Parts: sequence; structure tokens; C-alpha cells
Amino acid sequence: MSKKTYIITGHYGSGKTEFSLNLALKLSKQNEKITIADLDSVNPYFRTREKQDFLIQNNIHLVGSSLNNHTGQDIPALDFSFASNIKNDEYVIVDLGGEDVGARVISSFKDSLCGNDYNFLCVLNSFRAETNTSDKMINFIHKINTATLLKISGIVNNGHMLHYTTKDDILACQYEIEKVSKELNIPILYTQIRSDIYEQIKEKIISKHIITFETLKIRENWQ
Amino acid sequence: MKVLMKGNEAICQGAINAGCKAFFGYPITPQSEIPEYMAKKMETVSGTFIQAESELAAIHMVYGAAATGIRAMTSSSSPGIALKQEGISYLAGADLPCVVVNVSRAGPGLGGILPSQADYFQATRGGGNGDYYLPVYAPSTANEAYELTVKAFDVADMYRTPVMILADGILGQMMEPVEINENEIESKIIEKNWAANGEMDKRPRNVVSSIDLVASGLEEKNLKRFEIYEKIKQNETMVDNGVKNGDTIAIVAYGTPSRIVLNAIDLLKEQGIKAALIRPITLWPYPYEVFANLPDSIDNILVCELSMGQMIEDVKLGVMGKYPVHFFGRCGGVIFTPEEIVEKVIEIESKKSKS
Repeated sequence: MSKKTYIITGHYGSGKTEFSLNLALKLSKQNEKITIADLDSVNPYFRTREKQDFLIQNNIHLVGSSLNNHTGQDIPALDFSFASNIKNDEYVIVDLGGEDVGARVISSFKDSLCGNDYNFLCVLNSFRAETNTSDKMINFIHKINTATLLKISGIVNNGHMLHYTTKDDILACQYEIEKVSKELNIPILYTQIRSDIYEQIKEKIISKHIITFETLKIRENWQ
Repeated sequence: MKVLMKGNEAICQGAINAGCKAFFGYPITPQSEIPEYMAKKMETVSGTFIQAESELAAIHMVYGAAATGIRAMTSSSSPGIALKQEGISYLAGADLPCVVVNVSRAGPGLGGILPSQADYFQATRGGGNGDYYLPVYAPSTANEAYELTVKAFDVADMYRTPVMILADGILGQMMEPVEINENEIESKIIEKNWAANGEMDKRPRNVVSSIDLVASGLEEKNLKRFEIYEKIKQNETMVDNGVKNGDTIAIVAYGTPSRIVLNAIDLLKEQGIKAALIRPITLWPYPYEVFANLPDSIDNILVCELSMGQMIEDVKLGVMGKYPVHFFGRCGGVIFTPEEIVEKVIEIESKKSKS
């Protein structure tokens, strides 16, 4: 069996949810069966469950709150039924909440969901103050490992400034992430990058896989 | 240096860079990142963070801290700010400078956690007792939230008044690049000879209180405070007025929703309708004068708020019957779209051509 479980963690603003959605979309285009689980119990807005209609259109099954995926909930109600319903042939993308406080919840699903075979991806953005150097990123990964009782198995380069991201931003983030990757011996599995920027710096990107996108999904396109 | 921050975090960083040394708060969505951030950061600047037992306790702790002359702040969201009204009135009555942050959510009552602008009356008319006003700043971006928080501390000290930052939940939660340049901060630290910080037998005791049981004395204090309010009106009113000659409709909006209006204005341009944004940055003092000097090309005013319509009353006071004032709003946590505003403008414009 291939590794079909993807658990996504990262700091607030790292771009976990954008990455989870884009990864789900990429897999769904390959006609795979996908469940995306929004286990974010700490952030009140900008959560995967807000994109219910979009996910349904793309044949992606959403698991959010046990209370009907209401976006305005202020209670960390998670749908515990999902772990038992996962089939082996399905891809599962688990979008965790920010930081160690948001990631901790996965430890309660660990046995039923993960087995020994999972991708535990840490989305890193060097433009968040808490992960703006390789040292801080390394500390952050240790913190997540401790909180979740799992081990980060891959890094996602998601250097970004939202709509204002430049090619230099992505390369600056990659510079820090490469140091993290070497130090901890964790591969850079994905780089998430807007397609037009990717075209400009294709050959400079160091990453096993690339996830490109046209527009941000969680953010409205306001001025 | 540009960093990516939530509006809530930008407010905190503004406070810290302005020299805020005491924060008292209590968690409530969508502002909980403020106490969370201050809990982590106040220690690093030799400041004090206390998670109070309630919103009431927090605002009265601000009273105590501000009375000693240090820069103090509290934050909450709508129903929590309602609880703080008593303390805000006491602070105003004792002429104590401080900053109160409201990252507003939908109401009335507990309402919901999603964004809303239905606290305009609460912020500008006050829920506390007595004759008082607070300067109220309404940032529309995380960067502006940072800058206005720094300014809020200066204005508070300069005029000895509590100052409010009114941000909506969208701004509190939304991440944006923020330009943080600590060297550029020129916070005006003013010596506070009124502060109750220990007279050390070197000067008469300072007493900080809002009570005065002698009618003539209390009246005098109120009159003096209103002289200061006049100065605040003259010096501190802020508005972003985008109206040019040739525009036919002025859309008035504040905070994050003003950015949705800007997108609507772009869409209207494509349809040949010339609309422009008037964005009050201070909600008190309100920029009434902007409506007295609009170009002749303006036929209509549209007010867009995430409420049933509260700021519209100030717009009408500014317009004084000169133009028809229309309203479009959503409430309860629903956020309007640029397309909805376009539709409303087209409806207004089509009535104009019939008449």
C-alpha cells in the first residue's frame, strides 16, 4: 500500500489549508477518491470547511465538525466518526490547526488513522515571525513532533506573502528550508507556488513535487 | 521589514512598539490572538500580562495601571466590550489615557463569532454613563491597524482620554504583509505629572478619580473635557476621501468592508459608472466636513456597513439633506460581496435616470 494518508501541519499563516485544498484538487484530477478532514479546532475563520461547495464540485469528501460543518462555530467539535470510515484505497488529507496546540488533536486519531504508513507534512513559510529562520523552523518541527507523538516526514516550501508573493520570497524561504532539510534529514517533498511565478524560477526550485495554483482559495480577492 | 501577520497580531505589535507596558484581557473569539500574543510578548519587554477573571476586571485593571502613568491596553470583542462600558466611562471621567480594542463580531447579545460592524453606536455613542466621547480608529488593513494602534497611544496620552480601536473580525483574523519598522516609531512619550505613582514627599499627592460630589466642580470638569474634545475634533479627524470631480455616487464605508467596496467601484467603472469611496478612519471625531465639500457631479450617497445601518446616521448629519442617502448592509456575520454592492448602485442609478 502506498502512503495515502497526508497529515498537514504548520504555523498559523503557513498556508496549511491552501496546501490541503490544492493537494486534494491535484489528487482528485487523477481520479482518486479523496477525503479531506478539517481538524482545525483553534482558528475561527479561514478553515477548510468554508469551502464545502467547492469540494463537493470537485468530488472531494469533506469531514469537518460533527455539528454540520457550520463555519460560525466557536466550539472545537470534531467528527470522530471519520477515522473509522476510512477505506484503504482512499486518500485522506488531514488539515490540522495551527501550531502545536492545533496539531495535538491528531494524536487521538493516530492508531486508527495512521498505522505506520503516513506522510506527516510540515508547511513552512519564512515570512511568519515564528518561523523566519532555519533555527526557528527546526524548533517548530521539534515542538510539533512532541505535541503529536508523530514524526514530520516531509517539508512543504510555502514561502508566501499572500497576493504579494514574489519569486524572491519563494527562493528566500527555500534557502532557510534547505538548511532545515539537511539538519533534520527530512526531504522537501512539496513546493506550493503560483503558476506564473513557477514558470519564472522553475530550474531553481528544489522539491520532489510541485503544487501550482492560479488564485488563492481561502482568501477573497479584495484590494 | 515586511512580515505576514494577522490583524490581531499587528495591533499587538503596534502596542508593544508604542511602549505599552501592561495588558489585561480575557479570551473571546475573534480577538483571542491578542491576549495570546501579549501573553508571549509582554514578558520580553518587561511588561505585565494578566488574564483577568472577567472583562470587567480587565478594564478596571487598565484603570489602575493607567493611573500610575504607564501605557496600558485591553481588548475584547463585542459582548465583552459591552461588559467594559462601565470601566470605560470611569476612565473617561478620570481623564485616564489607555487603549481599548474591539475586534467586533455579530450581535446583539452573544450573537455569533463571525465579523460584523454593529458596534458603531457602542463605540461612538458609548454604553457607559455620562457626557463623554472616545476617539475611535477604524483600520482597514493589518498595516493600518499596526500604525493606528501606535497613534492611539499617543492620542490617548496627549488628550488624556481612553481611545478605541474598532476592528472587525475579518481584520482581526486576516493575515497580511505588515511593514514593521521599529526605528520609525516616534511615539510621543509625555511626562504625566498627574500620575499616582508615589509622591516620595516631593510633591502634593495626586488623586485619580471620576467622582466629584460638588455640582459646580463636576460641571467645570465636564466643560474642560469638552474643550479638549473640540481640540480632538480639530486635530485628529481622519478620512480617506477618494471622490473626484465627475464621480456621480460616493460610497461611504469603513474598516475591512471598505476594501470590498473598492472592488465594487472597479467593477462599476467597467460599466461606465463613476463611483468613489469615502472611508472615515476616525469614527469619532467623525469627518462630517467631507460631505460639505463634495463636487457638484455627485448625485447620490450610498452607505455600506456590515450592520443594519448605524454609521448612516452620521453620514446624514454630514450630508444635511443635500443628497439622497441610501443604504446597503448585511448582518449577522454575513459579508457582502462586490457584486451585491454593484447591484445596489445600479438600482440607485437607474432610478435617477427615470426621475
